Amino acid sequence: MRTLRTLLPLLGLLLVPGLALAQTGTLSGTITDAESGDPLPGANVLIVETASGAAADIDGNYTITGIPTGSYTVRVTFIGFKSSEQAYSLSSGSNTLDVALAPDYTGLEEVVVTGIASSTSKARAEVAVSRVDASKLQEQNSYQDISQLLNGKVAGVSVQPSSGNVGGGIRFVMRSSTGLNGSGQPVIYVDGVRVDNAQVTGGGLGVAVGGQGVGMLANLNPEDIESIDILKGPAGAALYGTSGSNGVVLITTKRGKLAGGGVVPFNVNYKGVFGANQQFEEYTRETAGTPETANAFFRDGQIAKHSISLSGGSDDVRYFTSYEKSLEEGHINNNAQDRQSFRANFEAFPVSKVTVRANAGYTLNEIDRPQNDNNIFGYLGNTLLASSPFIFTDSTAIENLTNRSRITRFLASAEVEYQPIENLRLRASVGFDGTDMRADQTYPSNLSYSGRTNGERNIFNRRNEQYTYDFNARYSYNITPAIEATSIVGTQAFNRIWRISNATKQNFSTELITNLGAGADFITADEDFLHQREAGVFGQQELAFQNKIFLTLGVRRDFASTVGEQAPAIWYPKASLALRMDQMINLPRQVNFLKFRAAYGETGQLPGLLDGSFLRWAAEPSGYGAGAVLDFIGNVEIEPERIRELELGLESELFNNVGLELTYYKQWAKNSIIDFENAPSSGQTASDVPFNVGESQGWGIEASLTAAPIQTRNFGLDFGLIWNYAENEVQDLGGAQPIFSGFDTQVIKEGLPRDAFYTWSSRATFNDDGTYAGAELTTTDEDGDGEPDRQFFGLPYPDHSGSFTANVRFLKNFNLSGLFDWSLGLSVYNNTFLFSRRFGAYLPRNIARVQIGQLEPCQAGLCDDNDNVLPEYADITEFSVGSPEYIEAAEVVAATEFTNSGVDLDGNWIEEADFIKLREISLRYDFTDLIRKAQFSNYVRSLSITLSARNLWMSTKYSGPEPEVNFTGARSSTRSSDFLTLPQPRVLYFTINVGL
Amino acid sequence: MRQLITLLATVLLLTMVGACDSFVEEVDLPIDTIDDSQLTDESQIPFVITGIQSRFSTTYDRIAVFAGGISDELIFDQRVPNATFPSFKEMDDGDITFANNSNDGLYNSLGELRFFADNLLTRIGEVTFEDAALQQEAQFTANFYGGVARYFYAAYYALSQTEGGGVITDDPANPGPFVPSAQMYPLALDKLNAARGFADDYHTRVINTLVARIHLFQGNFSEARSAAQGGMVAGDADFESLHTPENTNYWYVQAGEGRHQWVVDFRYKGYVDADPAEGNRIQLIEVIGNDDPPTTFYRQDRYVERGTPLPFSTWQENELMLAELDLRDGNAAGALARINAIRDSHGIGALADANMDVLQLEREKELFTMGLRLPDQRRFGTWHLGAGTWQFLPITQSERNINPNF
Repeated sequence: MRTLRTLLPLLGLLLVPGLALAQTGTLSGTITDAESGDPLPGANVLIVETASGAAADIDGNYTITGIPTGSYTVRVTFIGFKSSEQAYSLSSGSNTLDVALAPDYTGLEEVVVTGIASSTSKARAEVAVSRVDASKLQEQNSYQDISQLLNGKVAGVSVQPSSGNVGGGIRFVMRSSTGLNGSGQPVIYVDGVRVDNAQVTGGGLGVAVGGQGVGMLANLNPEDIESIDILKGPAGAALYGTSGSNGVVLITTKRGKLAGGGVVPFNVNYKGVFGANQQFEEYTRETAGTPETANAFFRDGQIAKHSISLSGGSDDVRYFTSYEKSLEEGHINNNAQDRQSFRANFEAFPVSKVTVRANAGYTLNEIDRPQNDNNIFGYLGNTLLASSPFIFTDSTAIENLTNRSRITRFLASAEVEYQPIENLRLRASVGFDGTDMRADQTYPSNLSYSGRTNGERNIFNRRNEQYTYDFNARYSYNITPAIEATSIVGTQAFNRIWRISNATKQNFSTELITNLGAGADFITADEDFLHQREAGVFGQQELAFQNKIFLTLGVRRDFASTVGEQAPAIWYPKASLALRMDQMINLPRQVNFLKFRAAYGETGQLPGLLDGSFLRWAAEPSGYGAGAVLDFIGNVEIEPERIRELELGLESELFNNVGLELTYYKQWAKNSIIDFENAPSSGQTASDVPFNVGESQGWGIEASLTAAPIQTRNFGLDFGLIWNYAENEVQDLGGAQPIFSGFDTQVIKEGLPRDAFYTWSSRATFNDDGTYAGAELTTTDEDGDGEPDRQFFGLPYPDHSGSFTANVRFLKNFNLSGLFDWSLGLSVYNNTFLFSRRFGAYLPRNIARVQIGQLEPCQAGLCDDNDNVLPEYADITEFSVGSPEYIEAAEVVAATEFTNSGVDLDGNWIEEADFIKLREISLRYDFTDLIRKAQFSNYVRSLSITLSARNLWMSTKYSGPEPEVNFTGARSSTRSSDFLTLPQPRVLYFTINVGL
Repeated sequence: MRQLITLLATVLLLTMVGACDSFVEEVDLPIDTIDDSQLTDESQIPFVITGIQSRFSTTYDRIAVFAGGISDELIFDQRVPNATFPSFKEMDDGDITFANNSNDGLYNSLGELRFFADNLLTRIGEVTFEDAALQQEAQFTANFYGGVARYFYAAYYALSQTEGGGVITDDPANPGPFVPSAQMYPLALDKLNAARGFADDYHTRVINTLVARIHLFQGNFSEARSAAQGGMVAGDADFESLHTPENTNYWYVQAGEGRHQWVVDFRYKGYVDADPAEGNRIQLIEVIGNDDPPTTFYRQDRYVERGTPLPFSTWQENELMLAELDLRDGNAAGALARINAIRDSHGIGALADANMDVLQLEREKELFTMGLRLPDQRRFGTWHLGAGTWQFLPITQSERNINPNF
């Protein structure tokens, strides 16, 4: 009550000026592009002192009424343009202020996130920062999920789905992925809420479909996203602490914007997307045992997406609300996503020093996953491996095996900013992300499925609740007139509660009734639960000297839950420095801007909830009752791991329209928590055991070049080039044996990059007479350990990658844009071909066997039903012994073996898989000019149509259909392993955007 | 003002540090696991005993199937619908890679059986028992299954194609060396002899039958006779591994109604055709192949439910061992009597003569699906595959990767 008594007079005082200044004026004018002279619809005009403002209408005109006369600062901002701020003395009556904004080709003006409670323009940032302007991208193109919004747009970050499944999981690869612990995924925040980024496969719980999962990020409507900021490593993300050890992705949803003109006093935007997911490339005899059958399962999967949003408000309250209905069918049967999402974001300014924000999104999503990958019920498993189809499961049974996940997600945050005194800003927020997922898998009882007696029903429930609490205080002041300082203290807390349950029954009397209770045979049921908390406090000191030198020092203390032990805690420091060389020395006039920066930061990974346990036992049902079996093996001496990063870089702007950004980073991971497998003879293999023995290093270079060399009224050209190089090396495993994963093909081993392919291969041997004598291992036991030595066969991730974007505006309102991206140094393990060879259907081997006389053409599957050699194989003949062709064919036969002397010849099936793809291309026509000229702008503010495509073209060294796949989904340590995995589709879109 | 704000910020930071510490510790415990120390209590010992029995059941059923697959008892043929596992084909061909992932699961399970049993023995020493019967049961269980695990290593695993043996690792940080079968069998016998001291009469006979089997495999015929004479007798129930729908008999899962990846060798069908009464101990059912014209295969029809128990030791096996020892001692009449008694227990007519060939055939039929055909083929020298093929399951790639002794 005392506070209220104090506040009331203060509020009264705030009102006094309004009462005293009875005279008001109106400010109006036109906002235009300084280069082309075109109006800038949607540009924001703000009277800084009164926080009142307006948005420019379709003709670039704005009007702000009821402004008390006086002197003000007028700020004009618009995305892609340098902001303008100028003093203006407003008199009573009408006032006119026209502003021409200069294009910001290199984005230096853009305010980006540089840390947990700090944001600044790129011109002042001390770390490499990346912002994806999602809103702008989606004006030009259509994107189905976040991975598409990010891929190829950010230096040092790749984001890829693990298959062509609609609604599947995605994997982020952040820089050199130096940390050895975990899956290397960044933490993701949406409007300050740490969100669930799991990929749920249901493996072992009855609802698995072979390897691919449901991605929780598929529940976010990309159209709601305004921007995405990325902090790529510890140097930038140190103050996010443990949760930021693999980088931080900060997604900001759209906020309310003042309407400018139009038929209604708010912005209404409708976007309709219509298109199709198509098979990129048909299977052939080279890639499939029965290509026609395989291809028959593919379709033009329909895409129909409607999203509508309303945005507007007043000086006191702004709002954005949206609804989306998105139906997307995959390019293979039984794969679809049907999503509805709602969003309501509010921003209020109840008094001049308080801002209140509330964001809420609700999603209903249904995802049908197809059976594929390592799966005898899969479409591809039944059509690619053998020379006759459906050797495992009948086609009708495959088509009728359904797997549907129904997900509801509520994502909300509330935030208050309060400025109790000048330059002190307090910010508190609380957020919630709750996801309920229910997955059902049904094997109809009237069809035959191996291992299922009269059908089977699996149900799986998952509930995940995440609470994020955030508080920070930021105080800005001048130490001397030349030195600006900002001090920040804050705390973050995170609380996660996760529950799952599942049940399976079999033996259904009729396929017409499929509820769990109708199954006569109980098979299994189980549940699990996890409660985990993290918290941290941080402090940061920022110093800026005359807009020339910028220095930041910070530290964070992190805590995490653990069972049975004291909560582990760790300190993470950071420091960063930026020097504006263009302000300090005389540079050639062509160099408008030059900044050097250096940053150092530490983050890490605290031990998991149970990692400090010794042994943990679970109850296993059996014929004897439920008995104690080992479930988890911990390490009582486990300590936090630490990742350090040093980052050096520069940004420059040349000729006013060329931006160059270079970053070198080096990462050191020490005390990495590595999960080791015990020797099976110990009997302690229920789980891997965490140890602090890992030490690894990684480094890389990120470069980006942007340029807008031609910009005229009717024609414009801009392009961007991103090039990344990254490498890492495992340096120390503390004397431990290498750790193998996947099909025993990938390794964490001293002296090799993380997860390198490391296995065996074979080659041909010949008899004295030149005939093929069989295969031998390409290595011997040179290290004397009793078995032949393994070899390095490449990396399941690229060392070089990059993208090239070009945007051409012609005839004033046409816009053609394209994005190529590429990966070099990538290898893929083609387990599909290996298994095809096991089943005798691998055509290159069969042809080679004909060529060296091991098979007759018809035995090799080169004949029709009448034993006539098919025309396309008519020139396949036996080579003469000893000829180069014979030797070459013999090498093919030897290199397509899969076992020798007890070892798997997986190296024979690991291929170079460099690729370049035309990832995006779009042609857009903007009718806004026409509307304005036709004087329809009172009814329609904007209109555009776009034709676009994704994955339109690819060139690759990989002999399989698609190098960007992984049969165990998007989280496993197994990577780039192709095993009957659905390739990425080609996607075609037609998009219409209407603004009222 | 700045000093005041600095002071406030410092106080705030310190408060937050304390709050964070307590915040993260207030979490609900897992519901599905308990800490190891919680099992070191007399009340939890039955739970631990059951866990060992459970692991025995998930180990033995797989051993029985895989041993059948490596031997000439079962065949893997891709003309059989749903016969797809390359890992099974490797077993059938005797060309087994170290990384064979079906074998991986079994090898890990066997490691757990050994560890769970030895771990109980350690735990018994740390518990003060008030219930002497429970303590005795625990000591029997720990020693008996510890012995069974070591026997499994000796009889079914190998370093190379014919070099039988296994590995015992007491300290995961220092994995143990390869122990050849000749040394592993005595380790098993030590455990079984220790178990005998805590066993009731029935389990004493079970132990003796297993001890006799081990001696027989080693060619120690006098010790085998001595043990078998105290072994299981007619009327004794089979000693079985027990199964439920959740802990399914592996025969049902991979060589039965659930999925028939493995079918039996055609000669078993011949045995039944020759004497339909053999169907009482060799239960078979047709499986139609997916070739054209379709081949008729046969799979076992003994384990018809997920939870059908699987015999590990029977009095009939004990009698067959005694019959073999009789034959080795030149007592054909005694052997014939024993063989005919066994046949009679299944309603199969008596034989007129007994010799080693007859005995081997009787073992093949009587011990069908018990995983004993594999060691029999080795010791009788009737290996059906070529030289250089695996007569055991290989110690896995995973062990070889991790264990520096390999």
